[in-house]
Amino acid sequence: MKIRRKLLLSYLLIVGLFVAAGATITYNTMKMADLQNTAKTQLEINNNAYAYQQGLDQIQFGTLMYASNDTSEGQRIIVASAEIMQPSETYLLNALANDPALLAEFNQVVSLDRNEVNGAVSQIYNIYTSSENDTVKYVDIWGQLSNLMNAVNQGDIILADVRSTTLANVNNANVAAQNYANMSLIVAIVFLALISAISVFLAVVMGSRITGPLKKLADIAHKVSLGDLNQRFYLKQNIDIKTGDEIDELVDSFRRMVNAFRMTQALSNDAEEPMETKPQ
Amino acid sequence: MTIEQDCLAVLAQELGPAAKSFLLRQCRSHLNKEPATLEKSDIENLAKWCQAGIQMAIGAQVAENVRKGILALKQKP
Repeated sequence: MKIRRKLLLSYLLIVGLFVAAGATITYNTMKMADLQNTAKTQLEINNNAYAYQQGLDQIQFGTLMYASNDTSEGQRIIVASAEIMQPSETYLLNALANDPALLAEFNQVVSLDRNEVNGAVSQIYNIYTSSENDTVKYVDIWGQLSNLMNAVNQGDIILADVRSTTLANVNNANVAAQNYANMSLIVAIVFLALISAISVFLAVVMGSRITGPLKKLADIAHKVSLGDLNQRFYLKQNIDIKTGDEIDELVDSFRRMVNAFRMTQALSNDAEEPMETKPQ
Repeated sequence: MTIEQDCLAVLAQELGPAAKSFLLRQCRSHLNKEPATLEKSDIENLAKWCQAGIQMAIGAQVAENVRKGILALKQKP
């Protein structure tokens, strides 16, 4: 294999490891971003469920005030609670569309609000404005208040369950994000160690494979340059040096050159002593 | 290619620039002819003398390589 190809393959191996580490960490980072969005959405759901819960409690409180003869303040609180609940309801119906279990729970609360809560509030208003005597009115109002409190209580329980589920989801998302963060850290450390080890190994191996034969060749060249053509060491070295790359070609050329020197020397001495009769 | 050129090609693999003068020397000394007049029938003798000459000057391994290379020229059409 040619030296350039060896170096290129080594480089590609290290680049490949960097790419693998980068891809893994990027994937983990993307997952962490997804989980962060999930946690944010769940917190938003939790806040809106809490607002809806507060709205229900305010309706109950406003109705109590209304029934206690503070009609204007009671009406104001009931209207204000509706203003809090409406955007929360819209948000929750959209946000929980992908979570059938929580959506079913929230729909129960909406149904309680539309039927039991609003029904009780309307009944109390009708009773309060009717021409019945006060005793009958208060007995009827108390009965409706009792229905209202039961409905609000049920709604509170369901919304508390929705909120605890969303908090659990936030916690799960945080744990998963932490796991991805830990995995990224481990991947970074492992790949860094692996890349460092492979880089050092390749540097040492490639360096010795390239410089080792060149050093041997340089030693031979030095001896030949000093006129040492009779030694056979360069042939032995030639057997030792088998790298299959440009160094092999260089060794072959050098060996041929030394042979040419030796032959030229033998031919020039030929007149004095024929080659084939020389002692070996 | 002539036989001379073929032989030079084989010898140049081991002897480089000394191939031509070595072939000339072997042809004149042992075959009593010029390299340009080499024929197929001379190949065997030439291989033998080249081997002998190279063995003395360089070594047995190179000599054997050259001998085989020159003998292979016999098979060439």
